This record gives sequence, C-alpha cells and structure tokens, in this order.
Amino acid sequence: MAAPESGDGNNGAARMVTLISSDNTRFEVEAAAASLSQTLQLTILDGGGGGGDGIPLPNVDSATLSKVLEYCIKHAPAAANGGAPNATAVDRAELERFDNEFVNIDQSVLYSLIMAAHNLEIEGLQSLVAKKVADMIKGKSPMEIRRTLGFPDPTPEEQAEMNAHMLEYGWAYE
Amino acid sequence: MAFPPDDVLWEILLRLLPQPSTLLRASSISTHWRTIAVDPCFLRRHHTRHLSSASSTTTRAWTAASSTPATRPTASLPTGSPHQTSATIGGSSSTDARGTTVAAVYSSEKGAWGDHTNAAGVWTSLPSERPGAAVGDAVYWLLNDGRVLSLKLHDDGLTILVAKVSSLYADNVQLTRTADGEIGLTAMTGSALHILALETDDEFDTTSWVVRRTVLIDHEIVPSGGPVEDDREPRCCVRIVGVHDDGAVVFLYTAYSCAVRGYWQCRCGVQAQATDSAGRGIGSANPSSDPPAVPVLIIGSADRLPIE
Repeated sequence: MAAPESGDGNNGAARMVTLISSDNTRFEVEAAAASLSQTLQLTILDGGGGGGDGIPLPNVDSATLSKVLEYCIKHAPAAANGGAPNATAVDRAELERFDNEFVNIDQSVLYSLIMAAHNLEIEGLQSLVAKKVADMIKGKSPMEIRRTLGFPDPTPEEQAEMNAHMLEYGWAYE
Repeated sequence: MAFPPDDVLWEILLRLLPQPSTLLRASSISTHWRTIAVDPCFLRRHHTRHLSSASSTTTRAWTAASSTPATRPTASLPTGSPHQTSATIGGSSSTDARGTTVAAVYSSEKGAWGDHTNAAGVWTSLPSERPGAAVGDAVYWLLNDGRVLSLKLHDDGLTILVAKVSSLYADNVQLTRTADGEIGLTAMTGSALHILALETDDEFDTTSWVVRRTVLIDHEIVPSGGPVEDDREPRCCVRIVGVHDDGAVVFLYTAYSCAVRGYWQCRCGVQAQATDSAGRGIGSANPSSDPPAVPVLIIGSADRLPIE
C-alpha cells in the first residue's frame, strides 16, 4: 500500500465525492476515505456525492471537516485492508505516530472533533478522541475535571452531591 | 449536558483505569456521568477491558473500588443457617493496593463490620466479581485465578483452597452449597450446566473439583451456532446469575441477541439426586444422560411467553 499523501491520489480511477461544510466550503475526497464515516457510507454506496451534487454537512464547519478528512485519508488504506492484517509494523507505528500528533491540538478543536466524529460516526476517530479526553482526566480531582471539560461551576445541589460522594468514597481521593 | 455525547462519554469512561479511583473520581463530577459509570452493562465492559488487557500491571494493584467491605458485601448466609445464632450475615473480600487479600465479616448483632483479616501477606489474585458463598463454618470467595479463598468464621483464618477451578468455565461459575452441606460449584460450558464438588484423593492426598452432575439446558435459550462475539468483547451467552436452594434452582441470563434475551430459572432437581453417590466420578468427559433441565423465562422481552 502506497502511503497516501492527500486526496488527489495516484490512482486516476479512484472515485471522488464532494462534501460541503456548514460554511459552504466544498471538499473533494476519495470515496474510500469518506466512507470511514458510517453516516456517509450509505449515501456514497447509493452513488451520492459525486459530480456537482456534493453531500451537505450542516453540523460540521470547514476547519473541523478538513481535520476530519486528514484523519480519514490517512486511515483509509488500512481500513480498506480490513484492519490491515498484513500491515507491517512500520505502517502501524506510522499510524500511531500520526494519531498521537493528530490529537495534540487545542481543546476547542478537540471538542469540535468529538462532535464531528460523533455526528459522522467515524469509529476510529471516536476512539482516538475518547482516549485523548481520558488521558486529560487522569489524575485530576472532580473539580479539575469539570474545569478541564469546560463544565460550569456546580450548583449548590451538585456540590452537595459531589461532597457526599467524596465522603462515601473518601479513600479514593487520598 | 449535551457534551460530550453519551456514546463518546461511554468510550471516555471505558478508558479510565479502575486503579486508584480514576473512574470513581470522574463519575462524581455529575449525576449524568455517574448514571453511566454505575450502569451494569458499562461496568461489565469496563471490567472485561481492564482485566483482559495485556498491559494490566496497574490494574493488578486494583484497590477494589467496587468491593470495599463497607460498600459491597459479597456473600450472605442463607436463612436458617447455624450462623443466625452467631448473628453473622455477610462477608466481603478484596485485594488492597499492596496485593494482599483482606476479608471482613459483618455482624448484624453489633451492626458493624469486624476487623479485616489478612491472608498473611499472601498475594492471591483478585477476587472475582461473583458473589461468595457461606457454607458451614466458613465463607468462600472465588479468585480470578480460579482458586478459592475461604474465611473460617470462628478462628478467623483466611486460607486458600489449593484446588483450582478449571478455566474452561471462564468465570461463568457460582460457588454454592451442595445438598450435603459442603462447598460446591455450579458452572456452565456452552449449553451444559455442571454441578461440582470438592473431592479429596486419599491416595495422592490432593483435592480437586469433580463434576458430580451435568445437566443439558436443551431449549431455545441456547440456540445452535455458538456464542456471538463482537471484536471488542467476548460475550458469554448463558451466564449464571445465581444459585438457590443448594443448587436445585439455577438462575441464568442469556443474551444471544435482542430476540433471545432474558432471565431464566432452571430447576435442575439436584437435591433429589445429589445424594446418589453413584453420581460420583461421572467426570466432565462423560456427561450424564440426565433429561434436559426445563428453563422457565422469568423476566424477559415482552414478545416471549414463559415456557412451561
């Protein structure tokens, strides 16, 4: 498998589809890459998204969509191999390096990615962002977790509930 | 709170180590997070994920988040047992951060947990999630490595039975009291339910679990085609939920698919035959020709009627 560099590809016959972000930017991408999204897969199988039509994605802005497609293009060859049983260790290491780099981003971008991965149902990306958030939570106190994730400060009731929880499981907070 | 969406939140929480309390802390941040973190289905997946992962060195030092004696009694004594007089109603065991196993017994008379008893620094593997069993003068718990931990109620000794439960049963086993009043085991492989007892071989001075009886669950609760597995989580399709009445009634849960899902009650009639010593030595390789147990669906999907 040749390492894909971008959507233009080296295979002239590869089918392309057009995705349209919420701010009306058009992205042309190989159908195989876009099909990592369970949401898009059916439309694409039905022959949608080709030519001048394009598939509108009203929930995803262009900055987020270009990030998502970067992920899809990188992962499409391995996914086409059925989880790449014959991928070399080098290929896998390269994907892992890419993934680590990929989520090394601003929190706001990460949150847009979480929503996009959810809306587009891209399983691998969902796992990747979930892992990133889990890493961010590790070792933090409940209040720190709330702040990290941008939750509003707890209401008095919520605070009371958190305190009760802490009291019950005090050993967990040592 | 719409963020993050539930399926993502689920994936996030699934990745938090049970050790020391990362999941617990996260679950305290909001009611909604807590709802997911205590969902039995979630906990099962979490448990499977963190116990089976190859790099589980950290989870080995699990502090028993869900099984501190104060929060999760894992065994209760049957009513009418001699222990009512000693007013002992439950016990719990867990493995502390140093990897030694502790156990404690609850006294309803004092309304408090007794002192933790240490297994003298013995590293014992983690207690299984299965409930323990109270038999005679002792409380027993299954450990994840297949051995059994026992706590003698009167001399407070914590010991480990050397006989290992075969990994053939995965953890689809339940410690129980046999009709003879000994410690026994109910285990499930495929569509067969096995009743095991602890036997000592005097000649070689060894003890082992021996299958006393095998009952085939021959009904639509165990469709042919074997267990369904998805790539993430091997699903045990017929699980033992509980055993009642010295093994005569076994409660099972099946989850083959949405269509065949529910809780079943199987009357195995063990009591009637367990005293039959001819049943000894049947062995797992030679299943007996017992008639199939008749499962009765007790709770389940609405489109299924109980089978009589």
